[in-house]
Amino acid sequence: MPAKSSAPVPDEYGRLRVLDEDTGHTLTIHAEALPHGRFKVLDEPASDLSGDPLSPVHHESPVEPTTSGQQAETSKEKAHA
Amino acid sequence: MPEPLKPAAAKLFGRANWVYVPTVSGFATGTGPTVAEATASSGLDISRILFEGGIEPTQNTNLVEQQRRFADTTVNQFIGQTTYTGGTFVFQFDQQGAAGSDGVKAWETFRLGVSGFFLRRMNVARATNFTAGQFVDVFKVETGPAMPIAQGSGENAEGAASASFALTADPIFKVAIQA
Repeated sequence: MPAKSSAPVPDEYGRLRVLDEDTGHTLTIHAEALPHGRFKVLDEPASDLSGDPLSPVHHESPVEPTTSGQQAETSKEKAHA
Repeated sequence: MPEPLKPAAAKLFGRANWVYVPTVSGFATGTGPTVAEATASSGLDISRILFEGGIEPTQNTNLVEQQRRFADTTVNQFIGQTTYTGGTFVFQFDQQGAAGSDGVKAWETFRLGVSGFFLRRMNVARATNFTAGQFVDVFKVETGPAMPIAQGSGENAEGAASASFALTADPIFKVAIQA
């Protein structure tokens, strides 16, 4: 009896639908990119009917977006005036 | 009169990163990537995989002439259409590299029709962790097919691959990385 292969089978466009375990997002990747991330292959379509990759489904939106970022070091800039 | 302001130089030599990430959840709302998105193993910091030309998206804004009124003797301008343009990038590629190895990471990532985002961080030492509050530019891209080429010639020739990228949405600039 031949050994059963457990390698994931990409769709006809060479894509897989995966869960990115680092971010929690569900996305479509090219099958060759599978070793380059902590991906869990999902048994879901990876492409839409027109052959385009399905859009990502984000785990959650960022909570309380940060818009201010880093503060300028004004004393440093003054030192160079 | 006091001396005019002279801000410190934002040095970029060895102090810039380009990172590919598959998705940025806050892009549509104009917010930056999360730390998890910027550092996920599904992404790829290509700062030391790209050859010297790096990635150079460009912007062009048309300057258009206003309609001249009947008695006008001068013609002025309007700001017209702005086009964001991708380009071509050249990255290291080892034709003999095993699947999943470092030598083929970029090759196996950038295939025809791959969509995702390029993050550009500037004026931070390249080996510094991405942390919340740092600013980045975010470019939504789709890549074309990659083709193996030789980078350089003769004694310093190296295996490489070339691919094009298109900007598929307006980039967002100077957005903070989210916690």
